[in-house]
Amino acid sequence: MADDVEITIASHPRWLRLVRQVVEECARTAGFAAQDVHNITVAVGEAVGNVMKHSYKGAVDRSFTLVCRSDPDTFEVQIRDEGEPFDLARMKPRPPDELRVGGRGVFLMRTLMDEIDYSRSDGANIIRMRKNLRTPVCGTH
Amino acid sequence: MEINVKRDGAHSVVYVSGDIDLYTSPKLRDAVLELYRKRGQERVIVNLNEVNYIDSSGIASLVEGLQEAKKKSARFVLVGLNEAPRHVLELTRLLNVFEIAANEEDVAD
Repeated sequence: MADDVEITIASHPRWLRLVRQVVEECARTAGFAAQDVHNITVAVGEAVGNVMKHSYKGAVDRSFTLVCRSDPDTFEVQIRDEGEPFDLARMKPRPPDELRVGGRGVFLMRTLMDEIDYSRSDGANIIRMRKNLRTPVCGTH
Repeated sequence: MEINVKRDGAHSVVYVSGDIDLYTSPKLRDAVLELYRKRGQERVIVNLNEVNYIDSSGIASLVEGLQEAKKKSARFVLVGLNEAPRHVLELTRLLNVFEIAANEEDVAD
């Protein structure tokens, strides 16, 4: 917990910008270059969007907890909500080259982070997303 | 996010500034779809020069705009793509799906 950042935020989408600001600052402080900071921010934004849309089904009066932590090798973001269970593994990312309206969020999460896992514990969904500090930038030009 | 629309006959330009995310993207979607459905526009340019963040819901709004344009045999053009939105479009393999120009002046009639 020494240098973790933990924040509880209401489930209204108006706070997505705040989520991004927190994650951006934490990722920058952890030592990532600008492109990776953006990639992490996009991935976490998608994960929180999924909490709002799927876990809380659009309810804006709930809350979730965001934790950012880092060590010399890894940056981890954990998102915990108490909404409906949803399993990322069962949310099939659609082929992104198809001209469908939705379904790109999980694809972006998986593309931009090194590791993602989901668990359900004590009535809560917990998503952990990790980015290694020493791997090359993922998904860059 | 702010949206301003400039209409000139059957052509419109939608100026967007700020982040396009789950909170703001419905506003962009509605603005674009209205131009095709209620205003009968033949060409809509979305100027993203003041946008530095777009998420999957924003991408979905743009895809809906493109789909509506195709239904109406109209054009839907993106201009002023900054690096971050371009990167997200590239990752989702949509960069070649949209008609994209550097700026409004480069959009062919």
